[in-house]
Amino acid sequence: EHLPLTPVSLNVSSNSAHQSLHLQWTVQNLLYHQELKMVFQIQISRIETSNVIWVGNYSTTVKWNQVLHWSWESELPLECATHFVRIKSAVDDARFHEPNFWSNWSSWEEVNVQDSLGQDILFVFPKDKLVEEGANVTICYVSRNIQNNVSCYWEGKQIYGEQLDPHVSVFHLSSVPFIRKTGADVYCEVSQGSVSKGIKGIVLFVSKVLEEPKDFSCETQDFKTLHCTWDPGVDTALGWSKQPSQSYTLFESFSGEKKLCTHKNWCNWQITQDSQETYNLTLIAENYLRKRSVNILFNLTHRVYPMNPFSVNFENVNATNAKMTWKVHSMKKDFTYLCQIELYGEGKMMQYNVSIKVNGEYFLSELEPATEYMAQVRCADASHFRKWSQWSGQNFTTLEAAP
Amino acid sequence: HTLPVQPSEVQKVVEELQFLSKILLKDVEEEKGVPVSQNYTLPCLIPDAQPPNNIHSSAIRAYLKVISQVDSKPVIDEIIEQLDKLIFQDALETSISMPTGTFECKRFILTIFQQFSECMDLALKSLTSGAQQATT
Repeated sequence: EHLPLTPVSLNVSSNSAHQSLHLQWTVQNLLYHQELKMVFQIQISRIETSNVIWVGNYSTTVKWNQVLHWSWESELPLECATHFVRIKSAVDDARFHEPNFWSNWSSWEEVNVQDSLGQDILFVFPKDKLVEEGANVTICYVSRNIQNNVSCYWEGKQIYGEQLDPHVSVFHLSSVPFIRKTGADVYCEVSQGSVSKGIKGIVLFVSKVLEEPKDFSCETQDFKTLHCTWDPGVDTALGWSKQPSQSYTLFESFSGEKKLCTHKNWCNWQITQDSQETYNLTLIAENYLRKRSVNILFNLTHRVYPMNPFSVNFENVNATNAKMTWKVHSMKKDFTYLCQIELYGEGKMMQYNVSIKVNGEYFLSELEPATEYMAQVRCADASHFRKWSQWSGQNFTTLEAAP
Repeated sequence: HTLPVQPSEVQKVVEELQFLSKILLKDVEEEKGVPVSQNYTLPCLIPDAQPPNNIHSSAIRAYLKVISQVDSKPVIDEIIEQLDKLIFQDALETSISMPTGTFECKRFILTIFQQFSECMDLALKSLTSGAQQATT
């Protein structure tokens, strides 16, 4: 006959900054080799045990002598009410032929943060909470002397709450807006008659919602470095060191490489000699409240944006001809440039295209004597056209015609 | 007991400080939801001292310096630079600490900036009226 599998040694700790309760417990009477699927029901009460505010189930596989953990986040700051927690369990395992009964409840475990508050006449919570724009926030005050009158203000405008108990009032702020980087100011003033006895306040740090990076793209000018750029959207940094600007990280899934970027709208990624041709790059934007990512999959050879041609020169210039030469940056083996030349002179523009592998030259003919011309050249990847480089150009003047 | 600047230049320095104090104040007064506090007092003029040596520059500097560590603004650095011109070489260092809690810090900053602004008005008045007495 099986002994009831009961949760025991329930221990509840609190984390005020996170407004969370952390439970840990073990299960009594589990056999040494046994591993069972169990479901635990947890009840949470506030102010008094009869006032149950939350019930939920937690299912997990339990081993012998295992300490189980579970956390719960309160919308109300823990300082503003005593909480009580209890737990019961049932086997939830198909292999277990016994009928599944709930165990007895554990005894109520009390969590009272108010005892540690100190002797001030008024406290306001939560302190320096960080939330996202649009969040719902519960603010509360604890007033030592119930004779005192307490009035509270959001950004200077009075707000009205509901009494939780003679010492505690609660204010539900829905969909809080972003006010400023240094946070939204909330304070309560305690007074006796018309005499102010003191002011206590908090700052609610409301962060803009982190946006998904837009226009994420990468290109290379030399097959050594990938230059990635994006539009970061709003900067979610907050003052008082509450939240730095969001961080940006590049992650390449084929190589498994990761890089934390130091700029908020661009980042360079080193192309190693042996690295692959196809890239699956994810850009991850992250702040304290949220993570956003965008992903692009591309072939490196389709993302070439060449550097400008240089050393543009004109040789063998005579009255009607000139040889235009220019240099290009070396890329990788078998790389072919498509170059475009524009010749300006006499109010006209002529355009020529030429494919080159190393340095470029083009024979300009049928020119007018003693005329000033401007010629410029730009190049692109001939195999997978993506983008022209910038122009590079020079002026030259043809010679006088021979008499 | 000598000031780094000539007495004749003190008024110009105080005028600059008065101008900068208004900029400082305008910045923090934007936060409507922070009330001033009665718990903080910025030392301003030294009782029984005569202009131009009657400004508590060293103490004022200490307050602004501690504020600049949590709320760094270029204008505060400019003010400290100007205050350094009004601090006696042998002046005692004053040690100030910020209150705890962000909201209380904001109250402290607002209160000190308001008092600093009023102090500079006072200091300038004492200089100009002191100068008038000297010429009559």
